Amino acid sequence: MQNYILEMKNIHKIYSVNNVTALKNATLKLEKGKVHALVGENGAGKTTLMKILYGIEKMDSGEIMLRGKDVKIDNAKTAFELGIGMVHQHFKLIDDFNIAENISLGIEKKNKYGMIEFKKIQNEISDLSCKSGLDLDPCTKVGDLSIGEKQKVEILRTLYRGAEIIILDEPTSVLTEQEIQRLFNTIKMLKNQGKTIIFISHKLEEVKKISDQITVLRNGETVFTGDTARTNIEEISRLMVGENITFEKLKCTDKKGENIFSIDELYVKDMEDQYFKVKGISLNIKAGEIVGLAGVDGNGQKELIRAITGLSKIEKGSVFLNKKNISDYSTRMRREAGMSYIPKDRVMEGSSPESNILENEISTKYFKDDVSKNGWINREKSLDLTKFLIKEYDIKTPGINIMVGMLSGGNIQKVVISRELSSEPELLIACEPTWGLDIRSQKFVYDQLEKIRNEGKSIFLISGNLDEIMYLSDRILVIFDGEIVKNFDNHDDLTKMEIGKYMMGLHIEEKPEKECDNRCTESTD
Amino acid sequence: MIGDFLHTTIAMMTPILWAALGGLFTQLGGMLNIGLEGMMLVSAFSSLYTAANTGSLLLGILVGISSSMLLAAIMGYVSLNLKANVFVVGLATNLFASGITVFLSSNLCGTKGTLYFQNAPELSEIKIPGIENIPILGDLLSGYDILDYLVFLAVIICFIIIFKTPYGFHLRSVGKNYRASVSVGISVYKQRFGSFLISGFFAGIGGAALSLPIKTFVGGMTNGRGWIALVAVILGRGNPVGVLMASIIFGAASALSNLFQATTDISPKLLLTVPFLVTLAIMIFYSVKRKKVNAQ
Ligand SMILES: Nc1ncnc2c1ncn2[C@@H]1O[C@H](COP(=O)(O)OP(=O)(O)OP(=O)(O)O)[C@@H](O)[C@H]1O
Ligand SMILES: [Mg+2]
Repeated sequence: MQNYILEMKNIHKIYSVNNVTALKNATLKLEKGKVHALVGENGAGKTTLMKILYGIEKMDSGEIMLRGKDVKIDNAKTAFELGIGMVHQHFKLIDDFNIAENISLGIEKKNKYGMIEFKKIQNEISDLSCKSGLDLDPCTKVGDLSIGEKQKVEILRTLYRGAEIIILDEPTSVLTEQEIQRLFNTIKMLKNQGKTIIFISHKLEEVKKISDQITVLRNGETVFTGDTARTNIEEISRLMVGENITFEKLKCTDKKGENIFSIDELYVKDMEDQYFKVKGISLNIKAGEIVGLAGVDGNGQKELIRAITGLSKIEKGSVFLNKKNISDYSTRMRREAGMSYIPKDRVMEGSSPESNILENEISTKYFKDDVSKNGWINREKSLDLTKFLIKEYDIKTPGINIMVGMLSGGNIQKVVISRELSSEPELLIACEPTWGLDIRSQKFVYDQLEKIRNEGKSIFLISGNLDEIMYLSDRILVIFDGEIVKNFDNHDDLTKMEIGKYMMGLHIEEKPEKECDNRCTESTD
Repeated sequence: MIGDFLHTTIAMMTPILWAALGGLFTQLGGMLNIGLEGMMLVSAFSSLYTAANTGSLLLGILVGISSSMLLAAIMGYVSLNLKANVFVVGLATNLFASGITVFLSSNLCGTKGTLYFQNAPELSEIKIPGIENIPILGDLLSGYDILDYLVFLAVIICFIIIFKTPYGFHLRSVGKNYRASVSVGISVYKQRFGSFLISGFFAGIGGAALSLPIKTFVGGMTNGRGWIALVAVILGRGNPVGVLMASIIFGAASALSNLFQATTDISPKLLLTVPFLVTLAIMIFYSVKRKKVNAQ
């Protein structure tokens, strides 16, 4: 009989709003001081299981035992009193508050007059951050932090609240390579201090590297639990999806057509209109070609995309689509000229999470004849279109009227992709199209991209995932400090190392400091 | 001369500032309280009516505050519990207030026009001993009524509540990102409902500060002050001191328009628009400035 710090047994959960069975017979057993990975496809129920543990969702049946005792966790407060802390997939931080304020929110220390003792709190947090190795200055405003640092704040908050079990829900999906490395160091340190960690991720290489044990969820059911060391990636991925999914590098086609898309000497400034982030970029994309853009985050990718799609002003230079100069076109005119766009953030930019699937699907074409007549939206036609797309793209949803925000990540992305591809673009701009997606959905996206490429469309693929770029691209451009520093043909003998060298700045010995990329987070006042 | 001007400025400022302090709390909780105007109006009537009939200023003010808070509670209930749009609820509150006050005035006092209570207790000017007799300073600092003095104290107290106590801290967190607050166990509903009640409290005093000094009530006598208070809230950027500054500017603009009415031939109707023009000018200036800061 093993001694577990936490046991969740036979957990059942049905979401009453849409009657989705998120969990059936899910079981999770944690040993103290271990990193336990929780894996499964999009919608397998990982987040739901964690929300139940953290007290923000209620289970329908099942039991939770903490250190051998039955516990009932019905809100987040109970959870943290029991020593359970959670770092959510989407951070819950207030940008205008500093680190100390964010961490102490809800559990402030008061003096005898009922005033908050901010000084004392700051000192405590300072101490804790040194002791735990999460080096943070408690007086920094959270809005000024990078994503990786914000995540540290979230982790520090769980520690400050006395967490012994720390849940990290897809912590790496928002991080760059270097930040992931730092996160792993943090995790190892916490483990050495005796903390138990639940680590959720879709990237099995990461899971293999950092975890001691693995639990696999499939369709809400626990199908496997065991030591990481005794499993291999293929086996896990088969357990997750029930079949083998492998990727093969796309073959470059040689039936490339004419130049469809070109950029000439483009200059774009940052969101604050201060410095140039894109400094004279020129490029061409032919019909039937996938061009990948590789680069470390913050080297001008975002500004380039915003300028191409008409969201930011072009300072100098021009953009051509089908030989038409579209530099002065509005975003809608660009779309009508044949451009489609899959944004990086599918929830904030890519979709309207509080609108239903139908509304999202027609949002780029409500003015077109496909779904409207004389300026009126035709209900029948839009319904037909939406039903068709749901079927064609295999979007898993209980109905058409479901709010998109309630779908799982993979299915939200399917909504976005189906919307963008159904308008039959000449050029598709795809930013991080598989971010946070499980292998099956990833495969789906790759297949779709391949399909439209073979139909002779052009694709501009921007991704921080170098494997992805190398799988898909016919050509690879490397962006560094606002310039295209290299143009590779994607030969079979091209290595990651070779590309990486250019991503880091060819002749620069030291790694360039990663630029703070959170400057344009929308202000909410 | 300067003394007179300052006195008029303060007299004009006080009701606006009280109401604006109220609006500040809902604003911090993330809701714009459109209903300030109505709350002030209800209190202007009920406080004066009570004071005149009981002879007690204190009782008058308390009844004014209670009536305004009752209205605020209804507003909070409809917008938070029944989830109605807070703007629409605010507008309804204002319409309701202007109707009910005229209705009560005609039912209780027999007139829909100007109500003047000859024998209502005086909200007397306080002469501060010692300071009163210092030549210029005495003129500037002494001789305001109790609500004028208290409002400055209220600014300080609000500052402490907002920035030093857990209550204010939680309220601000709700206004900035309520999802974050929920995740640490703060009740958005309680915070926001509380802020409506506080809003009603202060707007109630603001209403009393409008009618008691002149012992007069006229239908619609708030005359846009609730709205100006709202502008002061926005200009104050979540800080009571900022709200104070903005309110002083509006007070001065009104005082200026009074001064011109007395000393020039410019049409008085035109002059009455001065405070609103100032509001407009400041709002334009403010948004241009902000646009520059947020320029994409
Ligand atoms: N708040 C909600 N209301 C209704 N249904 C929900 C809600 N949250 C999740 N679901 C549904 O429950 C199922 C499990 O979702 P969950 O978010 O737990 O999956 P996941 O394993 O975390 O997926 P991902 O890898 O995409 O994050 C999905 O089918 C999802 O659509
Ligand atoms: Mg999830």
